[in-house]
Amino acid sequence: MRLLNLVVIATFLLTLTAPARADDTPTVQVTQVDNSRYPKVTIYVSVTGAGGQVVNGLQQADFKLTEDGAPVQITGFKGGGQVALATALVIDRSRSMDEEGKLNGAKQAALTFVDLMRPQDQAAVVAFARTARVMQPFTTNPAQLQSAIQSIDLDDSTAWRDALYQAVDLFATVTGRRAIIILTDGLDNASRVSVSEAADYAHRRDIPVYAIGLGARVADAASQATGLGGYDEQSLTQVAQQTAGKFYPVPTADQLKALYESLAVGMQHDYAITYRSPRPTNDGTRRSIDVTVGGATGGSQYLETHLLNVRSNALTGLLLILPLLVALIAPLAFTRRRAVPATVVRPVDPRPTAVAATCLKCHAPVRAEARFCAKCGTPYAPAPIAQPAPNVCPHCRKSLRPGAKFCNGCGAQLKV
Amino acid sequence: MSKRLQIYYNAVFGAIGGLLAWFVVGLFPTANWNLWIATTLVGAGAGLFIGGAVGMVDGVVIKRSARRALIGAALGGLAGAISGVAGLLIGQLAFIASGGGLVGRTLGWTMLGLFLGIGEGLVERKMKRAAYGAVGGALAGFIGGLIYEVLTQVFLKDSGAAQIFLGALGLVLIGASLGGITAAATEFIARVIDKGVLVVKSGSRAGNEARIVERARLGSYDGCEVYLPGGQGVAREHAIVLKRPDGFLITPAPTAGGAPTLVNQRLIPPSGQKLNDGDTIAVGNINVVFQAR
Repeated sequence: MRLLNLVVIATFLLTLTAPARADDTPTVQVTQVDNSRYPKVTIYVSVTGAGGQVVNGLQQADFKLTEDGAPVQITGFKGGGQVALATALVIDRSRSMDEEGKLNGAKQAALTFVDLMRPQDQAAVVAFARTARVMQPFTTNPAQLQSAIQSIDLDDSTAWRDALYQAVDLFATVTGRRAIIILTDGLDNASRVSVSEAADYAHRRDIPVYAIGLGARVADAASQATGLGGYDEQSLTQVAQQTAGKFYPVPTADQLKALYESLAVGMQHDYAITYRSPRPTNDGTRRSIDVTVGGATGGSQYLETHLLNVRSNALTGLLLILPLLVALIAPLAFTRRRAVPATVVRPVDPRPTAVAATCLKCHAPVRAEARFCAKCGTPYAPAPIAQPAPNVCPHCRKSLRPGAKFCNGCGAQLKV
Repeated sequence: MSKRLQIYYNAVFGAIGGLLAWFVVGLFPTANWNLWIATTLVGAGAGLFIGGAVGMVDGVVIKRSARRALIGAALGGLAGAISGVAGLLIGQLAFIASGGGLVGRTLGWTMLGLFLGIGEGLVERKMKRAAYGAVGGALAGFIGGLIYEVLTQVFLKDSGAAQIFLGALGLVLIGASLGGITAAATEFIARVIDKGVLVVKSGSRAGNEARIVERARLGSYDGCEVYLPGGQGVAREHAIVLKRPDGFLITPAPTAGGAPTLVNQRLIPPSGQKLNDGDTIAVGNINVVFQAR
């Protein structure tokens, strides 16, 4: 027993002193896939090193790309801070943000972000409480962004899911590397959309969401004790994961500045790689993309959007029309054999008792379809009756007097 | 013409319509167009040709009236074009929203089939026909989408060549299914529920059968469900058979001008008369038998 204890303790100590997981390989993440100009596809890749710092200075040759396993030819490459960013800064302005300098901290962080903008970058500012207000739509002008940030004031309630949903709409005409940085310190208590709906909406537009939870978590004992509430870590994490973004818990407002700075720098050093799909047809299939840099691989996927692809050529058309034409004519070949349809064609004469002839032998009246005389039994062959019988009304079949101009049964005028 | 043959012709005409749609629409380089503009064109083309083809079956094969065939084709084509655009746009949206794959593809195609089927049914301005069309069309779309996706995945390597063929196959399938399934659905549902058929026994259209869906008109006008040309004493609209909750009723048509209709050799009263299985209706000099099957 003693030996076992020793072994356990020794192993435990060893794990403590073992070096931290060797992260010499960089991590590669595909943050966005733009297939709006399919078959030209552009992906945005962020490469971070062991300590989480951004890896700059990589060249096109450092990247290996495959789509559905097939290597692709890179036709465009932007690195070294050339990628243009479009970022929506979404900031909580509920009353709880007034405490502990949270709103000030958020404003300072946002201003830092704007300071770091380059001429090709654009940003938008959205502040939310019960409803989201667009303080500044997308612009490249830092001064406008700064005044928008400064003018954020406080209001009631927190509806960050709705704000996220509305922020996505701002990107309608924006191209390039997109992102939403959303900051909240409390539970969502007023939104109409759910977490999944908001996350899905952003995901479908290919916008990664960097969700920041400021202050205490709602599950923390501290926030429960003071009743101040806190943010819901689970929802924010879900949004981040679903959109290929990230969740950042930030305990105090003065730590925000550094975070926004690193986000800005990180995104600015993304690489934008453009390639032509090796299977450039509109087949509506999902394609998976894999990017390898220095041994690390990241990936993403996209959907080729065509539900139905129509392209014709004469040869295929000819080949396909032949069996159909055969199918069209085939029944005629079969029905020709049956000269008379199975159903009876003879009309039913509703007045079988119409008197039309007499027996040749005894001159007794004979019914039209009789074969033998009823009086003397002589075989009788009736003359064929023209259709319709001349002394029967064509409308109501009543027998007519010879020379009648009008039927005395239904009053129809007769053709004479 | 037997019901089975009618359904067969509906399917074949629908298939030919689908192939024509593929050929004509496929002449345009829609691959390079904006997705939504391409979708509108493809939907309109598919609906126009499939709807037009299925619309003319009645006139060509059953009534054998060129006028009726042209009217049917025009109405069917128009309704098809409108419903095709709506169906394919909604189907395309559903495809993207559901993330593609087998689920997305079948969902999208089902939408197309559903709308085409409803359009086909609405042309006859009968709600029942539209309902049968919806069921038949949705089923047609589902089958078409399923096969399209499966074959796309199978032929992924030769995607370019395969796509040309698959586009044709898909439209042919949806056309055939729309024509055939809708006709079959109408027949089989009505056979179970309504049980009323009019069989022409004499005259130039002897052998024709018409299943009564809500109402059947008998007359020499080619829009009548039981079309009786070339008879003597047959008014343009001579008599009307209506499906009532308690059975089938035959009445003289209001525009018959007093022309008499007989059932089992007895004149029917102006207020109408109930029809029983085996009753022989005399319209002018043409006999039509009512069968409850």
